[in-house]
Amino acid sequence: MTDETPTAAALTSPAPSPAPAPAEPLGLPEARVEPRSRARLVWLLPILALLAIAILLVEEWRTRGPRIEVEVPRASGIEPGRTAVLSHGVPIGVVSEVRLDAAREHPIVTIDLHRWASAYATDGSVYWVVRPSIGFRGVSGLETLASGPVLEARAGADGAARKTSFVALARAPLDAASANGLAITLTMPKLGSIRPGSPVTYRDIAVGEVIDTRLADDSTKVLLDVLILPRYAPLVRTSTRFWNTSGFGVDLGVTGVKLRTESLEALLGGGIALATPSERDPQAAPGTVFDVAPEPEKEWTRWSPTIELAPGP
Amino acid sequence: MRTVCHACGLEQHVRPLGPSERARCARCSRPLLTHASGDASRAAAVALAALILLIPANVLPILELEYLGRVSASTVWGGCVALWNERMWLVATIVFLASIAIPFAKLAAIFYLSIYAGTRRMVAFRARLLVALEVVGRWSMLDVFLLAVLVAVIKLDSLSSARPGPGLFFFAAVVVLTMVSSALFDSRALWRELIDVKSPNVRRATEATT
Ligand SMILES: [Zn+2]
Repeated sequence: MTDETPTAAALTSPAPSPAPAPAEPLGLPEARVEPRSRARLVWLLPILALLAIAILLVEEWRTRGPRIEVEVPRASGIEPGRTAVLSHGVPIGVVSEVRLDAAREHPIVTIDLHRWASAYATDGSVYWVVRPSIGFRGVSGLETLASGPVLEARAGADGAARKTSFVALARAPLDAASANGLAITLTMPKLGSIRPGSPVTYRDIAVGEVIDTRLADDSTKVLLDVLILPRYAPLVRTSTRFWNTSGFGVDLGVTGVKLRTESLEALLGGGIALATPSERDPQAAPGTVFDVAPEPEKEWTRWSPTIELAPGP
Repeated sequence: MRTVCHACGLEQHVRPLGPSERARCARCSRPLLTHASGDASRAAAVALAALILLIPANVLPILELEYLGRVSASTVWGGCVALWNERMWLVATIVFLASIAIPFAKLAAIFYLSIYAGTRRMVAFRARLLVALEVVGRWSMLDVFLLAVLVAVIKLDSLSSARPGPGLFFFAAVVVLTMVSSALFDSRALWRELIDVKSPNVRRATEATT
């Protein structure tokens, strides 16, 4: 075969060209050289990137609200960037720093509030730490078992003066614990096994809770801040009697939540019961002070007035 | 000079190119060679954009998990620290190198080499950097990391509310820009240019690699 098809020759080897390019020393084909535009438009990319960062910074500056400091009793579990600051379950800011105060005695949590939440940096705003705790309503703050502690807040009144430094409450304020429950004070000669969280019962049904225990100002007795749930508030009349049920073995079923039994029993060992002689007596006003008897008198347990409970759960 | 087409294998001759010229294969018309500073300026621009976006990609959270009001925002760096604290030192080191250190070094090297393409400054150093880039650059694994995060977002969504953080969008942009700048970055053109300078140091560096 002396002649191949020209196309096949062009594909397999450079055909002997009748007019070879001048600068082709080894008989190689010459690559096509074409002009191309200089890349200027592509430099818009870094400019756009800078622009994106600028927008980000402006947005950050625009949405950043006041920075406040809250002194908390214990900072364990509170982490910058992770611990939520909530009001009625809505995030109002983020924890940016956890440190100790100048005296190295109290943890200080720095919070960056969102711009819309500036009402939480006013006089009258309150902060407290929600941790899992065991009380008569079972376990409260259970959600914080998995998530770690959460800072809860309530805003001060409208138009209140600006304030950026707060001391966290030891526990949730009463109105936050239970909206409009009846707050009363009980007195006892000594505390015994009553603790914050101990139940207040009526016919063995928990109707309230000991919120706080403290010594009276003249140190002659122990004062208990007690909250009666709104639904059961009508049970407490001016003539109501209270007595200590510690040692009676109050049976509190925290059904569904299995916890270490010994510590739960120790914690729930004490309780206070109440009885009311008659539905005709006036209801107790908030803040009324009652004595707690060490034991019930026989007739108290036989009282059985007909009292309409307030609507609600 | 002589060169071989990557696509069809045809050996051919290319006359010296000007700064704004490109050679195409005589047979298949694929781009064959560009002047070193031509694509280099494109690669430099894209690499610079990626370098800039690397900052928000690493500072902003790439993954936000919300569980009962507690938001857990994770940055790439935070993830490395967490792994390190979990005593998973090897994994932490690999994640740090493949997701932070090498991607940054690679982009910085591409930017540096591209911006100096066509000049005669620091030729020996650039030759060594080019070698290092080819060896180490393949361990830049931003895309793998991105995929892992996206899988986490999709998988965790049923358990808790996992959502991509603002950093993830920057991270994705960096991944794309890194790919583009690597594709534009023509190390062969740079080698050719560096050898043209005929520096003895370059020859040594070249011989060391081959
Ligand atoms: Zn070709």
